[in-house]
Amino acid sequence: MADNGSPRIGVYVCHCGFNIAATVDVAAVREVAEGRPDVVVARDYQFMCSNAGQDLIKQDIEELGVNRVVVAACSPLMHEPTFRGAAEAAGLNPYLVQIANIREQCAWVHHDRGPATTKATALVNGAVARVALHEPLKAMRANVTPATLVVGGGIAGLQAALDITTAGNEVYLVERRSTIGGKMARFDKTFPTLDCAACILTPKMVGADRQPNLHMMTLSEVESVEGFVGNFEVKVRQHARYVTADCTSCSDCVAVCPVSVPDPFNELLVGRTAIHKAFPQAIPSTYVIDRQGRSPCMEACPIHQNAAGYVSLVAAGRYAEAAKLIRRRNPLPFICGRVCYAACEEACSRSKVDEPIAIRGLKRFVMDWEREHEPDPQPDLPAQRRPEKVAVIGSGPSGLTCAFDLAQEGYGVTIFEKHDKLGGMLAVGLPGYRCPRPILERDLDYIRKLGVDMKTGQELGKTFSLDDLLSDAPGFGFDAVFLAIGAHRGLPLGIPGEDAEGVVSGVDYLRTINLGLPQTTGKRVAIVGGGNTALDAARTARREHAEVTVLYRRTRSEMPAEEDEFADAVAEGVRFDYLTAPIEVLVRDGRVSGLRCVRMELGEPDASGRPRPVVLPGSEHDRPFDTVIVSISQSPDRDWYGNGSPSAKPALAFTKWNTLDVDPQSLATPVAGVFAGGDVVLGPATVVESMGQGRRGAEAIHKFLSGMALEGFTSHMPPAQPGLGFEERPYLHSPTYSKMERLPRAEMPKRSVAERLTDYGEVDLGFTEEEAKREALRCLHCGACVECRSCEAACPPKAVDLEMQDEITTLEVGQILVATGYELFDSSQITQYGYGRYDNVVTGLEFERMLNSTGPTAGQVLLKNGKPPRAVGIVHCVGSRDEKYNVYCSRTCCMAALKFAHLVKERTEADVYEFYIDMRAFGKGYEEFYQRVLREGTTMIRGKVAEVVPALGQNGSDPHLLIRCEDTLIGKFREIPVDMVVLCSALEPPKDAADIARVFSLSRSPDGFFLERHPKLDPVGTTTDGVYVAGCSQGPKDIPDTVAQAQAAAARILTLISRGEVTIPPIRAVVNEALCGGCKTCIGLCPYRAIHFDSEAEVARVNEALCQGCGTCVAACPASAITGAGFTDAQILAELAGILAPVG
Amino acid sequence: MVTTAENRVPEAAPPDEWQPRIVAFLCNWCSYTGADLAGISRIEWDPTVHIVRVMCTGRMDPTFVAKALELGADGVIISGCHPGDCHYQEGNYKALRRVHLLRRLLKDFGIDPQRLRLVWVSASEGVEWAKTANEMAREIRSLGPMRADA
Amino acid sequence: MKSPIADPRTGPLAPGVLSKSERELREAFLADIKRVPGAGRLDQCIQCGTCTASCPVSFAMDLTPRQVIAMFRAGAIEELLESRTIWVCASCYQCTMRCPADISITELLYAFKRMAIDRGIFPPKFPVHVFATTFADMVQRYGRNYEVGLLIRYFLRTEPWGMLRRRRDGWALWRHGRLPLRHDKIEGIADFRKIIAKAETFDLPQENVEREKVTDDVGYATIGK
Repeated sequence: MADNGSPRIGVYVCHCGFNIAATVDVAAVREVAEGRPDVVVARDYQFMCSNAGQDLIKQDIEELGVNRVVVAACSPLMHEPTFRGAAEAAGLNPYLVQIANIREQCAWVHHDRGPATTKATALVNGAVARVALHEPLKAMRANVTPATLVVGGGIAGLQAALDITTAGNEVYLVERRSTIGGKMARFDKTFPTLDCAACILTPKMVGADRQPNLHMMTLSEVESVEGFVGNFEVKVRQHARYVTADCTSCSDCVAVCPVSVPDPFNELLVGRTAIHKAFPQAIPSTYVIDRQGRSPCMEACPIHQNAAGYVSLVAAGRYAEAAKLIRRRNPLPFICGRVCYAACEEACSRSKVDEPIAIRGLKRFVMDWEREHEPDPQPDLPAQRRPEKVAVIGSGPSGLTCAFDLAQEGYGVTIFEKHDKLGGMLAVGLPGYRCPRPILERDLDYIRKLGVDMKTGQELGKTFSLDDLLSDAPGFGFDAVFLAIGAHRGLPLGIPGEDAEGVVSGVDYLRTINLGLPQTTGKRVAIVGGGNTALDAARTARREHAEVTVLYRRTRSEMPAEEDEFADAVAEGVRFDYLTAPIEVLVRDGRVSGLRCVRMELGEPDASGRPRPVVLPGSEHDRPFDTVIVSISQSPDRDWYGNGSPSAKPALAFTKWNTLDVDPQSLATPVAGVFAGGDVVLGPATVVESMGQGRRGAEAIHKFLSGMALEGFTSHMPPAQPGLGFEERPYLHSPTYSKMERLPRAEMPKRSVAERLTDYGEVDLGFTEEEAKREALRCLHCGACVECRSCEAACPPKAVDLEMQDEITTLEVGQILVATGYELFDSSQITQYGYGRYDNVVTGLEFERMLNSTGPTAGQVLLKNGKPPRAVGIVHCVGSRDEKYNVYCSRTCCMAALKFAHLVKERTEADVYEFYIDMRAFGKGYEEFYQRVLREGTTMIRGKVAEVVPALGQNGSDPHLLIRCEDTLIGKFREIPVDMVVLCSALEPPKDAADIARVFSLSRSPDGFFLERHPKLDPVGTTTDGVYVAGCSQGPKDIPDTVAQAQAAAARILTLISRGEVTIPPIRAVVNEALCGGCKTCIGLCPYRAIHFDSEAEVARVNEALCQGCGTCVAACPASAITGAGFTDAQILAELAGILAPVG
Repeated sequence: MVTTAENRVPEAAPPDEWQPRIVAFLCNWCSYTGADLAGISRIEWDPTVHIVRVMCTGRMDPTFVAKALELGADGVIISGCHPGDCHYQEGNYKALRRVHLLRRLLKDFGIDPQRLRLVWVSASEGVEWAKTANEMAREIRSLGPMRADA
Repeated sequence: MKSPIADPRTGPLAPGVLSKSERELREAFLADIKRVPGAGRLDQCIQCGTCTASCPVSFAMDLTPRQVIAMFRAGAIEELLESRTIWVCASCYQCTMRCPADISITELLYAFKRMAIDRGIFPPKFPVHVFATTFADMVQRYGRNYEVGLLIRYFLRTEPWGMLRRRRDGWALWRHGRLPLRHDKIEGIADFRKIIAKAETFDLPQENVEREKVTDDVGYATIGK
């Protein structure tokens, strides 16, 4: 039994009955083999795999000293282990055996004896030459971790998990949805016994919940698998549930959730709230919040106002809660409800259906309602009072927001305002008809209630300096300063005559009017500019009874003014002259008398992206005006900086536009403790953008005063992804939305133009309650949960946690069972059946939900109009047995169709028709069930449905459907009128089956389901050791077969666990360190990172536990220093030489 | 089904006519199993193609191809798992890279690069394997013996 | 050819004879049919009836399209060729679009039409085929249709008095100038006839074609010749 020394080869050629011998001349092959070098014996035999055949080998090893074996027979994938075992039993190392495949790859695929025999001879030659170079190899043993991973919590995964844990082992059950139970949980009754699906399933679900070593991970997905059989390392992502295990399933939260989205568990047939339990018997019974990212409206808002939240609450008539929700993040809700430019509306998903929701109008409605019903709202006082004091310079939107946030944190805040009216631009820039003074006062009052001290008549640079603020002088002694002095200086045109009387900047003009200071507006006013300020000035001038003309140097499409404002300005009689610009102010007696203008044309785009206006030569003309208001832009005032600015270095920095230069993240100036935000940093910006800066400033100051680093800000973040809107929201792709009714956006009622011009009263009148509710109901809830936090407030055990994050866990398991189930074929692909187009054409799963007592119709069979059907047609083979969709038969639909027929007969008076091609009733009790259904009087028509068409009945007012087919048993075309059509759609692999296959190293059969190792003998194993499949993930099947496969897989898994160790084939790479040059080429090539570089010895080394034996490094090594045990270069080349040796 | 050349197995030629010899390196997990499936389904393919089993196409040292041609093969097929499905994750990508380079080298040596074929055949694609073998045999027959190239 | 769907009362049938004659008859035609793309898949037909139910003119057919395929597979070729079905097909291709076995029924029916013309088997009292062949003759002769010639020839070959019965229509057509007495010929008629001749070689049965043994998709391989 020597296995060293010179090779003594035994060659055994198998007849395999007639399988090989009928085509290959086995005797001839044996003869040639006999003459090959080193061959001491060659035999041919009927069945080498039989005991007798194996004994031949064993005998020759023992008696003839054969120390290398070649078996020419069937595929090594079939019997290599058999012959290795035979050798081992005779004391020979099993890896000194080589198989030549002369059956599957020779006799079975060639028909001419001559060429087949020649090829068989060549293959045997190759095997002989190869085996001479085989070395004895030792297999490795690895421990098997007894824990198992089961992927998929349907009946297959559940059953297997129960079996494995009952045997005393640990199982991790990973399920993608929020509950286990899979598709079976959705069924009503099951065939053939008509058991209620939930009744037989829920005890197993509850059992799983109580099983001590069954770790259930719902809302979880496997991200990666590494390792090998017995030793897998699996990363699982558990998505946040947003509800903790303290949940008692009381469902108080459902009553307060204002959101309704289509329910996937009920096949999108009915709505459900964002916080929900999939179905009453769901396990785990903890509720879950459906969150599809942040709503785009919230994303787009600079202060992340919860627009979706308060819109949903308005739709539910809960205005007080809506007001509270608004006030949570917005210190100036009244202002915003009137003047905000509404980035939220621009991002609103509803614009993909018809028009965006009028969010600003709804906010105004809520705040007006609060003013009427809750005249004295109280802010939440801070949890703690902090000793530090902060000064805010300027009482505009950014200053007010900063003050509000800091006051809520508990700091002592003082606002210093230069004018005697608070509000900054809100008071001096916004005209009263857009933002009345009482409205502003309400917002200011609320902030005052937090204890913010607001001082008027205090001007930076005049009554106090920056140094004063930071000093310890009485009345000062602040620890931080927020400069929010805005941009109140209008930019001049830079044309001659601009300093004449009657020429004023827009901001100055508006301030004068708003502060009630004396002024004279002439009779013929020119406004130069096209932005919102220009239009504000224009409309104000109209109210001062002037004729107003706006001169703008480009055209309407380049004007930055808001659409609404523009429409109002036009309605109020403002005239617009485009492509006109003044070049000189005409002055008479020191007062403006007119403008000399030129006409322009549009040229190439300039830095702003808009076309540059180009002067038309010779177009000068004079226009008479007695007042000129220049409103082309504003910049911050810089004068105050000269007086008493901090003498210490570093000083404040300014940009070339006179705005303050600050750190873009922390808004910090170079002076420690001094921050700035709003228009003074951004230049003229919108109200809400300035508020966002104020919020960021407050966050920065809070970090500064707490000694934290100025990083990691969460306020005022720009939208995460531009356009994270329609495409990203799953609900918006459901059929519900594609067929949604187009509804017009609510129009804001306005005062009549004649009335408007008489005073500065508000132009917009606000929505009525009815209008507001109707508008709010248009919201799509595109992000599902709107973060209104009503559930959080209503939950008695305080189980709602909206800050929950996804968690990634690493599991160590020995074996994996993939039981990921199926998805239903999309029947809308077969357009002639009308699914998705006609009412009352439903899929099997939709029908199951209808039949189920917890479904959308509480178990009644009803049409869309609520009436029971007069006739129902059940269609087999929808998307199955069809070259155009799925070639295979889905196996379960015939029986499901019979079940439907029975249930319809039981619950309604309807006639039932079944349209089939073949009736597949193959299981135990199935044929009997078919007989039963036949007895009940269902009409069976043998003919595949060609099309379903709508019909209107005899008098044109009885809409129903017609099913057209050929009744093949009588050979006639038939058209059957029905009210409802049930499509038995095909079972398909899940859409991400390819990704699942990659993660678990599974192959797939041509139909897309996962490939078993052998269709007859190994239906639950796969080619990857340690990974198994069961249930519909392997192919469509019914519940009895699924459970059988699940138990089979469990048995296989338990076998390996009980053995405790697994043998790893010794096909591995080994580095010859003497030859290794340390080039490191191999290190990066190994997908298992099994090669590491020993920097001391300067050689590469292979970790034999991790190496899987692919041979990539062997082929790559430039020094041929790596040997692939079992597949060495020499062995492969010898095999080549043997095959290609000249014949005869 | 229409008869196409790829499904036709040629009749056995008279003994004195030249027959090509083609070597095919098949990866154990996908292509070798796929070729077995062709056998189980009794799908015929050309007997001039001889299969050598490797664990993964990543094992393919380009010198194997050169050596095969040198030892008398007129054509070489390398067949592995489809991209993304390699049993060892990435071996087939490395094979792809090496074959690209090898083809250019073969051309420089005056050997028609059509004599080397790289295909992806999965474990359930018995038909595809048979078609590949038949197509290659037809191709090599029309190219003639290797000696003719040199 | 005798249909093997024989009346068991006449003549003895032995085991193997029925299926043998069915197979021979079928194979005799199978080679022709299999040349037509999509028609050769008729072995895959599961007799579901979608073709019939999709056919807009099935009401005018005696055999349904599904039955045509069933008859062919049973070897009842003669009966098949005597049916009106193959002549009534409007070539809308609706059946082909919906067939779950991907059979091109329209092409099949055309192949049967040509077979019928070839063998001179036509449905009784249903001279549609005369119209078709007459039309083809016209086109072959002139390169384009010549309506007056077509009508005259058709009626002369089927029911000569039919022309008389339709004299009022003829008179109306003549008055509206829609009855040209002269035929138009196209230019390049010789080239046109070459095209037609070549096309005909594609699908008419060839005398000396080698019967090749083919290997189908997944399935059996035929051994030997």
